[in-house]
Amino acid sequence: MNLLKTTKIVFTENFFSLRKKVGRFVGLFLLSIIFIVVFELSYEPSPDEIVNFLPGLIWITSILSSSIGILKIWDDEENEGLLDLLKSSPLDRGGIVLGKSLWGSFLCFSITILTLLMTFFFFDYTLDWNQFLFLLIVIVFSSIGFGFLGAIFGALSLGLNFRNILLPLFLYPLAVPILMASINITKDILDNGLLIGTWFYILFVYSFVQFLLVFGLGEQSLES
Amino acid sequence: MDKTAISFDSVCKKFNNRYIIENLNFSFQKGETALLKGKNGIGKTTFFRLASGIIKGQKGNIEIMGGSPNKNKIRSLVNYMGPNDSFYEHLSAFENLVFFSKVFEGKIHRSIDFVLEEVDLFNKKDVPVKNYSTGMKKRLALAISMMHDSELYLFDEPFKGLDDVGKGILKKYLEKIRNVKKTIFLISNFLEEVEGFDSVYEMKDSSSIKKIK
Repeated sequence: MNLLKTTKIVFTENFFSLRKKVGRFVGLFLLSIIFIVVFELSYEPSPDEIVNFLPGLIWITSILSSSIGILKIWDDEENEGLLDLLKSSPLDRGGIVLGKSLWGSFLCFSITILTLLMTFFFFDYTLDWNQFLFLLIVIVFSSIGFGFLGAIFGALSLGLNFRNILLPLFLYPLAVPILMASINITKDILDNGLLIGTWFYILFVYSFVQFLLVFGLGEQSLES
Repeated sequence: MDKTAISFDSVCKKFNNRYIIENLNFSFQKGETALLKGKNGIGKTTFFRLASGIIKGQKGNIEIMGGSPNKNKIRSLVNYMGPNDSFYEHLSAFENLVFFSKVFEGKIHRSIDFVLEEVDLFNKKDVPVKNYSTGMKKRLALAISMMHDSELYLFDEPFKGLDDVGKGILKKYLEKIRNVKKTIFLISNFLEEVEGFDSVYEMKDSSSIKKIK
Protein backbone atom coordinates (compact mmCIF):
# COMPACT_ATOMS: atom_id res chain seq x y z
CA MET A 1 0.00 0.00 0.00
CA ASN A 2 1.39 3.41 -0.83
CA LEU A 3 2.40 6.15 1.56
CA LEU A 4 -0.57 8.47 1.05
CA LYS A 5 -3.20 5.74 1.40
CA THR A 6 -1.57 4.51 4.62
CA THR A 7 -1.35 8.06 5.94
CA LYS A 8 -5.07 8.54 5.26
CA ILE A 9 -6.02 5.25 6.99
CA VAL A 10 -3.95 6.00 10.10
CA PHE A 11 -5.11 9.63 10.35
CA THR A 12 -8.81 8.78 9.93
CA GLU A 13 -8.58 5.95 12.48
CA ASN A 14 -7.16 8.40 15.02
CA PHE A 15 -9.70 11.06 14.07
CA PHE A 16 -12.71 8.77 14.48
CA SER A 17 -11.26 7.29 17.67
CA LEU A 18 -11.43 10.78 19.15
CA ARG A 19 -15.14 10.35 19.89
CA LYS A 20 -14.16 7.39 22.11
CA LYS A 21 -11.40 9.39 23.77
CA VAL A 22 -13.23 12.71 23.94
CA GLY A 23 -12.60 12.90 27.70
CA ARG A 24 -8.88 13.09 27.07
CA PHE A 25 -9.27 15.97 24.62
CA VAL A 26 -11.62 17.86 26.92
CA GLY A 27 -9.12 17.27 29.75
CA LEU A 28 -6.33 18.92 27.75
CA PHE A 29 -8.55 21.85 26.91
CA LEU A 30 -9.59 22.24 30.56
CA LEU A 31 -5.93 22.22 31.56
CA SER A 32 -5.35 25.15 29.21
CA ILE A 33 -8.29 27.05 30.68
CA ILE A 34 -7.03 26.43 34.24
CA PHE A 35 -3.64 27.92 33.30
CA ILE A 36 -5.26 30.98 31.75
CA VAL A 37 -7.67 31.52 34.64
CA VAL A 38 -4.88 31.18 37.22
CA PHE A 39 -2.82 33.81 35.39
CA GLU A 40 -5.84 36.03 34.89
CA LEU A 41 -6.66 35.97 38.62
CA SER A 42 -3.11 36.31 39.92
CA TYR A 43 -1.77 38.88 37.51
CA GLU A 44 -3.62 41.73 35.91
CA PRO A 45 -1.37 43.25 33.25
CA SER A 46 -1.86 46.85 32.14
CA PRO A 47 -2.83 47.42 28.48
CA ASP A 48 0.85 48.25 27.74
CA GLU A 49 2.14 45.09 29.36
CA ILE A 50 -0.39 42.77 27.78
CA VAL A 51 1.47 42.58 24.44
CA ASN A 52 4.57 41.30 26.24
CA PHE A 53 2.60 39.02 28.51
CA LEU A 54 0.00 37.26 26.33
CA PRO A 55 2.29 35.56 23.74
CA GLY A 56 4.23 33.73 26.46
CA LEU A 57 1.06 32.66 28.24
CA ILE A 58 -0.61 31.44 25.03
CA TRP A 59 2.33 29.37 23.80
CA ILE A 60 3.53 27.92 27.10
CA THR A 61 -0.05 26.91 27.91
CA SER A 62 -0.76 25.37 24.53
CA ILE A 63 2.62 23.61 24.20
CA LEU A 64 2.23 22.10 27.67
CA SER A 65 -1.36 20.98 27.06
CA SER A 66 -0.79 19.65 23.57
CA SER A 67 2.42 17.89 24.59
CA ILE A 68 0.35 15.71 26.93
CA GLY A 69 -1.80 14.74 23.93
CA ILE A 70 1.20 14.24 21.65
CA LEU A 71 2.97 12.04 24.20
CA LYS A 72 -0.09 9.76 24.05
CA ILE A 73 -0.49 9.39 20.28
CA TRP A 74 1.39 6.07 20.18
CA ASP A 75 -0.36 4.69 23.28
CA ASP A 76 -2.41 2.07 21.38
CA GLU A 77 0.65 0.90 19.48
CA GLU A 78 2.56 0.44 22.74
CA ASN A 79 0.67 -2.83 22.78
CA GLU A 80 3.29 -4.99 21.08
CA GLY A 81 0.74 -7.28 19.42
CA LEU A 82 -1.00 -4.42 17.61
CA LEU A 83 2.29 -2.88 16.47
CA ASP A 84 3.41 -6.29 15.20
CA LEU A 85 0.20 -6.73 13.22
CA LEU A 86 0.50 -3.25 11.69
CA LYS A 87 4.15 -3.91 10.80
CA SER A 88 3.33 -7.30 9.27
CA SER A 89 0.49 -5.76 7.23
CA PRO A 90 0.93 -4.21 3.76
CA LEU A 91 0.74 -0.71 5.30
CA ASP A 92 3.63 1.57 4.38
CA ARG A 93 5.63 2.13 7.59
CA GLY A 94 6.58 5.66 6.61
CA GLY A 95 2.86 6.30 6.09
CA ILE A 96 2.05 5.05 9.61
CA VAL A 97 4.45 7.62 11.10
CA LEU A 98 3.25 10.35 8.72
CA GLY A 99 -0.40 9.64 9.65
CA LYS A 100 0.48 9.86 13.35
CA SER A 101 2.46 13.06 12.74
CA LEU A 102 -0.49 14.68 11.00
CA TRP A 103 -2.73 13.56 13.82
CA GLY A 104 -0.31 15.05 16.39
CA SER A 105 -0.25 18.31 14.41
CA PHE A 106 -4.05 18.39 14.22
CA LEU A 107 -4.27 17.85 17.99
CA CYS A 108 -1.73 20.61 18.62
CA PHE A 109 -3.53 22.96 16.19
CA SER A 110 -6.95 22.42 17.81
CA ILE A 111 -5.69 22.93 21.36
CA THR A 112 -3.69 26.03 20.40
CA ILE A 113 -6.64 27.62 18.61
CA LEU A 114 -8.90 27.00 21.60
CA THR A 115 -6.23 28.30 24.01
CA LEU A 116 -5.73 31.40 21.87
CA LEU A 117 -9.43 32.20 21.75
CA MET A 118 -9.87 31.59 25.48
CA THR A 119 -6.87 33.77 26.33
CA PHE A 120 -8.17 36.72 24.30
CA PHE A 121 -11.61 36.19 25.82
CA PHE A 122 -10.38 36.14 29.44
CA PHE A 123 -8.00 39.08 28.97
CA ASP A 124 -10.54 40.99 26.90
CA TYR A 125 -8.16 41.56 24.00
CA THR A 126 -9.53 42.23 20.51
CA LEU A 127 -7.74 41.11 17.35
CA ASP A 128 -8.29 42.47 13.86
CA TRP A 129 -8.71 40.03 10.97
CA ASN A 130 -5.15 40.50 9.74
CA GLN A 131 -3.69 39.68 13.12
CA PHE A 132 -5.95 36.64 13.41
CA LEU A 133 -4.92 35.39 9.95
CA PHE A 134 -1.22 35.85 10.76
CA LEU A 135 -1.64 34.04 14.07
CA LEU A 136 -3.36 31.20 12.22
CA ILE A 137 -0.31 30.85 9.95
CA VAL A 138 2.02 30.73 12.98
CA ILE A 139 -0.18 28.10 14.65
CA VAL A 140 -0.13 25.95 11.50
CA PHE A 141 3.68 25.97 11.30
CA SER A 142 4.26 25.46 15.01
CA SER A 143 1.70 22.63 15.07
CA ILE A 144 3.47 20.90 12.18
CA GLY A 145 6.83 21.33 13.89
CA PHE A 146 5.68 20.13 17.28
CA GLY A 147 3.32 17.39 16.03
CA PHE A 148 5.92 15.88 13.72
CA LEU A 149 8.64 16.13 16.35
CA GLY A 150 6.45 14.37 18.91
CA ALA A 151 5.39 11.63 16.48
CA ILE A 152 8.90 10.75 15.33
CA PHE A 153 10.29 10.65 18.87
CA GLY A 154 7.21 8.72 20.00
CA ALA A 155 7.89 6.11 17.32
CA LEU A 156 11.60 5.96 18.16
CA SER A 157 10.88 5.40 21.83
CA LEU A 158 8.28 2.62 21.35
CA GLY A 159 9.24 -0.40 23.41
CA LEU A 160 11.85 1.46 25.47
CA ASN A 161 11.96 1.10 29.22
CA PHE A 162 11.01 4.32 31.02
CA ARG A 163 9.48 5.62 27.78
CA ASN A 164 7.09 7.92 29.64
CA ILE A 165 10.02 9.65 31.35
CA LEU A 166 12.48 9.64 28.45
CA LEU A 167 10.08 10.98 25.84
CA PRO A 168 9.36 14.37 27.50
CA LEU A 169 13.08 14.68 28.34
CA PHE A 170 13.89 14.54 24.62
CA LEU A 171 10.81 16.35 23.39
CA TYR A 172 10.79 19.52 25.51
CA PRO A 173 14.37 20.70 24.81
CA LEU A 174 13.83 20.13 21.08
CA ALA A 175 10.58 22.09 21.21
CA VAL A 176 12.37 25.18 22.59
CA PRO A 177 13.07 26.73 19.12
CA ILE A 178 9.36 26.34 18.21
CA LEU A 179 8.30 27.88 21.50
CA MET A 180 10.74 30.82 21.27
CA ALA A 181 9.92 31.54 17.64
CA SER A 182 6.15 31.33 18.20
CA ILE A 183 6.26 33.64 21.23
CA ASN A 184 8.33 36.25 19.40
CA ILE A 185 6.26 36.14 16.21
CA THR A 186 3.03 36.42 18.22
CA LYS A 187 4.50 39.43 20.03
CA ASP A 188 5.37 41.04 16.65
CA ILE A 189 1.85 40.37 15.36
CA LEU A 190 0.16 41.85 18.44
CA ASP A 191 2.60 44.75 18.62
CA ASN A 192 3.09 45.79 15.00
CA GLY A 193 0.80 43.53 12.96
CA LEU A 194 3.92 42.00 11.32
CA LEU A 195 4.40 38.35 10.45
CA ILE A 196 7.60 38.10 8.42
CA GLY A 197 10.89 38.40 10.29
CA THR A 198 13.85 36.33 11.49
CA TRP A 199 11.75 34.39 13.98
CA PHE A 200 9.27 33.43 11.27
CA TYR A 201 12.10 32.05 9.11
CA ILE A 202 13.40 30.07 12.09
CA LEU A 203 9.93 28.61 12.71
CA PHE A 204 9.42 27.82 9.01
CA VAL A 205 12.83 26.13 8.62
CA TYR A 206 12.51 24.19 11.88
CA SER A 207 9.03 22.90 10.98
CA PHE A 208 10.23 22.01 7.50
CA VAL A 209 13.16 20.07 9.00
CA GLN A 210 10.74 18.08 11.21
CA PHE A 211 8.62 17.40 8.13
CA LEU A 212 11.67 16.09 6.23
CA LEU A 213 12.75 14.08 9.26
CA VAL A 214 9.43 12.20 9.26
CA PHE A 215 9.75 11.50 5.52
CA GLY A 216 13.37 10.42 5.84
CA LEU A 217 13.31 8.55 9.13
CA GLY A 218 9.65 7.54 9.48
CA GLU A 219 10.13 3.99 8.27
CA GLN A 220 13.40 3.45 10.14
CA SER A 221 11.94 4.83 13.37
CA LEU A 222 9.30 2.08 13.43
CA GLU A 223 11.78 -0.60 12.49
CA SER A 224 14.12 0.39 15.29
CA MET B 1 8.70 -20.41 -10.74
CA ASP B 2 10.19 -20.33 -7.25
CA LYS B 3 8.57 -22.96 -5.05
CA THR B 4 10.03 -21.70 -1.79
CA ALA B 5 7.67 -19.97 0.61
CA ILE B 6 10.20 -19.18 3.36
CA SER B 7 13.94 -19.04 2.88
CA PHE B 8 16.44 -18.11 5.61
CA ASP B 9 20.06 -17.89 4.56
CA SER B 10 22.56 -17.52 7.45
CA VAL B 11 20.21 -15.21 9.33
CA CYS B 12 21.27 -13.75 12.67
CA LYS B 13 19.22 -11.76 15.12
CA LYS B 14 20.36 -10.68 18.54
CA PHE B 15 18.69 -8.81 21.36
CA ASN B 16 20.72 -7.30 24.21
CA ASN B 17 23.94 -8.79 22.82
CA ARG B 18 22.50 -12.31 22.90
CA TYR B 19 21.85 -14.24 19.71
CA ILE B 20 18.25 -15.45 19.54
CA ILE B 21 18.71 -16.58 15.95
CA GLU B 22 22.27 -17.44 14.90
CA ASN B 23 23.26 -18.39 11.37
CA LEU B 24 19.92 -19.99 10.70
CA ASN B 25 19.46 -21.70 7.33
CA PHE B 26 15.99 -22.91 6.61
CA SER B 27 13.59 -23.33 3.75
CA PHE B 28 9.90 -24.13 3.57
CA GLN B 29 7.99 -25.04 0.42
CA LYS B 30 4.87 -23.40 -0.97
CA GLY B 31 1.74 -25.44 -0.30
CA GLU B 32 3.33 -27.17 2.71
CA THR B 33 1.48 -27.21 6.01
CA ALA B 34 3.58 -27.70 9.11
CA LEU B 35 3.86 -27.22 12.82
CA LEU B 36 6.83 -25.75 14.60
CA LYS B 37 7.60 -26.87 18.12
CA GLY B 38 10.43 -26.11 20.49
CA LYS B 39 11.26 -25.18 24.05
CA ASN B 40 9.96 -21.90 25.47
CA GLY B 41 12.32 -19.01 24.75
CA ILE B 42 14.22 -20.89 22.04
CA GLY B 43 13.36 -18.27 19.38
CA LYS B 44 10.23 -19.54 17.59
CA THR B 45 8.39 -16.22 17.88
CA THR B 46 11.49 -14.28 16.77
CA PHE B 47 11.73 -16.60 13.77
CA PHE B 48 8.10 -15.84 12.84
CA ARG B 49 8.58 -12.09 13.41
CA LEU B 50 11.57 -12.16 11.08
CA ALA B 51 9.63 -14.15 8.49
CA SER B 52 6.69 -11.73 8.53
CA GLY B 53 8.92 -8.67 8.23
CA ILE B 54 8.11 -7.26 11.66
CA ILE B 55 11.78 -7.18 12.60
CA LYS B 56 14.94 -7.31 10.52
CA GLY B 57 17.89 -9.64 10.99
CA GLN B 58 21.35 -8.21 11.61
CA LYS B 59 22.93 -10.59 9.12
CA GLY B 60 21.84 -12.94 6.36
CA ASN B 61 19.04 -12.92 3.86
CA ILE B 62 15.33 -13.68 4.24
CA GLU B 63 12.99 -14.32 1.32
CA ILE B 64 9.27 -14.82 1.67
CA MET B 65 7.19 -15.91 -1.34
CA GLY B 66 10.08 -14.93 -3.58
CA GLY B 67 10.80 -11.47 -2.18
CA SER B 68 11.98 -9.51 0.82
CA PRO B 69 9.45 -9.25 3.68
CA ASN B 70 10.41 -5.58 3.93
CA LYS B 71 8.41 -4.89 0.79
CA ASN B 72 4.76 -3.93 1.31
CA LYS B 73 3.72 -6.10 -1.64
CA ILE B 74 5.33 -9.22 -0.17
CA ARG B 75 3.82 -8.57 3.25
CA SER B 76 0.38 -8.43 1.62
CA LEU B 77 0.84 -12.15 0.85
CA VAL B 78 1.43 -13.01 4.50
CA ASN B 79 -1.25 -13.57 7.10
CA TYR B 80 0.39 -13.24 10.50
CA MET B 81 -1.37 -13.94 13.79
CA GLY B 82 0.85 -13.19 16.78
CA PRO B 83 0.65 -14.51 20.33
CA ASN B 84 -0.48 -11.16 21.82
CA ASP B 85 -3.64 -9.04 21.52
CA SER B 86 -3.54 -7.13 18.28
CA PHE B 87 -6.37 -4.62 18.09
CA TYR B 88 -7.50 -1.23 19.31
CA GLU B 89 -8.93 -1.84 22.78
CA HIS B 90 -11.17 1.26 22.79
CA LEU B 91 -12.91 0.22 19.56
CA SER B 92 -15.58 -2.46 19.20
CA ALA B 93 -14.99 -5.71 17.30
CA PHE B 94 -16.91 -4.31 14.34
CA GLU B 95 -14.89 -1.07 14.30
CA ASN B 96 -11.64 -3.01 14.54
CA LEU B 97 -12.66 -5.14 11.58
CA VAL B 98 -13.64 -2.04 9.59
CA PHE B 99 -10.16 -0.62 10.28
CA PHE B 100 -8.39 -3.85 9.30
CA SER B 101 -10.54 -4.20 6.19
CA LYS B 102 -8.96 -0.91 5.05
CA VAL B 103 -5.49 -2.11 6.04
CA PHE B 104 -5.83 -5.31 3.99
CA GLU B 105 -7.74 -3.58 1.19
CA GLY B 106 -7.85 -5.64 -2.00
CA LYS B 107 -7.36 -8.88 -0.11
CA ILE B 108 -10.68 -8.89 1.72
CA HIS B 109 -12.81 -11.85 0.76
CA ARG B 110 -15.38 -12.06 3.52
CA SER B 111 -17.85 -9.55 4.89
CA ILE B 112 -17.40 -8.29 8.43
CA ASP B 113 -20.76 -9.59 9.66
CA PHE B 114 -20.11 -13.00 8.14
CA VAL B 115 -16.74 -13.29 9.88
CA LEU B 116 -18.21 -12.12 13.19
CA GLU B 117 -20.91 -14.80 12.90
CA GLU B 118 -18.28 -17.39 12.17
CA VAL B 119 -16.25 -16.61 15.31
CA ASP B 120 -19.44 -16.25 17.35
CA LEU B 121 -18.92 -12.58 18.23
CA PHE B 122 -21.80 -11.12 16.24
CA ASN B 123 -23.93 -10.45 19.33
CA LYS B 124 -21.05 -8.58 20.99
CA LYS B 125 -19.86 -6.75 17.92
CA ASP B 126 -20.56 -3.27 19.31
CA VAL B 127 -18.97 -3.85 22.72
CA PRO B 128 -15.53 -2.21 23.17
CA VAL B 129 -12.81 -4.84 22.97
CA LYS B 130 -11.39 -3.78 26.36
CA ASN B 131 -14.46 -5.45 27.91
CA TYR B 132 -13.82 -8.78 26.15
CA SER B 133 -12.53 -11.91 27.88
CA THR B 134 -9.21 -13.47 26.80
CA GLY B 135 -10.99 -16.08 24.69
CA MET B 136 -13.15 -13.47 22.94
CA LYS B 137 -10.05 -11.40 22.14
CA LYS B 138 -8.43 -14.47 20.66
CA ARG B 139 -11.52 -15.04 18.51
CA LEU B 140 -11.35 -11.45 17.31
CA ALA B 141 -7.71 -11.99 16.32
CA LEU B 142 -8.93 -15.02 14.41
CA ALA B 143 -11.63 -12.92 12.73
CA ILE B 144 -9.01 -10.38 11.57
CA SER B 145 -7.01 -13.22 10.07
CA MET B 146 -10.12 -14.78 8.47
CA MET B 147 -11.06 -11.54 6.73
CA HIS B 148 -8.20 -11.39 4.31
CA ASP B 149 -7.01 -13.88 1.79
CA SER B 150 -3.26 -14.68 1.76
CA GLU B 151 -0.73 -17.10 0.38
CA LEU B 152 1.27 -17.77 3.54
CA TYR B 153 -0.26 -18.17 6.99
CA LEU B 154 2.03 -17.74 10.00
CA PHE B 155 0.19 -18.45 13.24
CA ASP B 156 1.99 -18.16 16.57
CA GLU B 157 0.30 -20.24 19.29
CA PRO B 158 -3.21 -19.73 17.86
CA PHE B 159 -4.82 -22.21 20.26
CA LYS B 160 -3.60 -20.40 23.38
CA GLY B 161 -6.50 -18.88 25.32
CA LEU B 162 -9.27 -20.47 23.28
CA ASP B 163 -12.02 -22.59 24.79
CA ASP B 164 -13.28 -25.80 23.11
CA VAL B 165 -15.73 -23.90 20.89
CA GLY B 166 -13.00 -21.45 19.85
CA LYS B 167 -10.62 -24.32 19.15
CA GLY B 168 -13.30 -25.91 16.99
CA ILE B 169 -13.68 -22.68 14.98
CA LEU B 170 -9.91 -22.43 14.52
CA LYS B 171 -9.60 -26.08 13.44
CA LYS B 172 -12.37 -25.58 10.88
CA TYR B 173 -10.63 -22.46 9.57
CA LEU B 174 -7.28 -24.27 9.32
CA GLU B 175 -8.94 -27.12 7.45
CA LYS B 176 -10.53 -24.67 5.03
CA ILE B 177 -7.24 -22.96 4.14
CA ARG B 178 -5.45 -26.32 3.97
CA ASN B 179 -8.02 -27.56 1.46
CA VAL B 180 -7.28 -24.66 -0.90
CA LYS B 181 -3.56 -25.57 -0.83
CA LYS B 182 -2.31 -22.51 1.01
CA THR B 183 0.98 -22.57 2.89
CA ILE B 184 0.57 -22.80 6.65
CA PHE B 185 3.25 -22.69 9.33
CA LEU B 186 1.99 -22.81 12.88
CA ILE B 187 3.75 -22.67 16.23
CA SER B 188 2.27 -25.05 18.76
CA ASN B 189 3.63 -27.42 21.34
CA PHE B 190 0.33 -29.28 21.53
CA LEU B 191 0.52 -31.59 18.52
CA GLU B 192 -2.69 -33.35 19.47
CA GLU B 193 -4.64 -30.13 18.83
CA VAL B 194 -3.70 -29.97 15.18
CA GLU B 195 -4.52 -32.69 12.71
CA GLY B 196 -3.83 -33.27 9.07
CA PHE B 197 -0.62 -31.21 8.76
CA ASP B 198 2.09 -32.46 6.39
CA SER B 199 5.03 -32.19 8.72
CA VAL B 200 6.39 -31.21 12.11
CA TYR B 201 9.55 -29.16 12.62
CA GLU B 202 11.45 -28.65 15.81
CA MET B 203 13.59 -25.69 16.74
CA LYS B 204 16.40 -27.28 18.76
CA ASP B 205 18.52 -24.17 19.28
CA SER B 206 19.07 -20.71 17.84
CA SER B 207 20.68 -22.05 14.66
CA SER B 208 18.66 -25.07 13.59
CA ILE B 209 15.12 -26.00 12.68
CA LYS B 210 14.88 -29.69 11.80
CA LYS B 211 12.06 -31.69 10.30
CA ILE B 212 11.14 -34.43 12.76
CA LYS B 213 8.06 -35.87 11.08
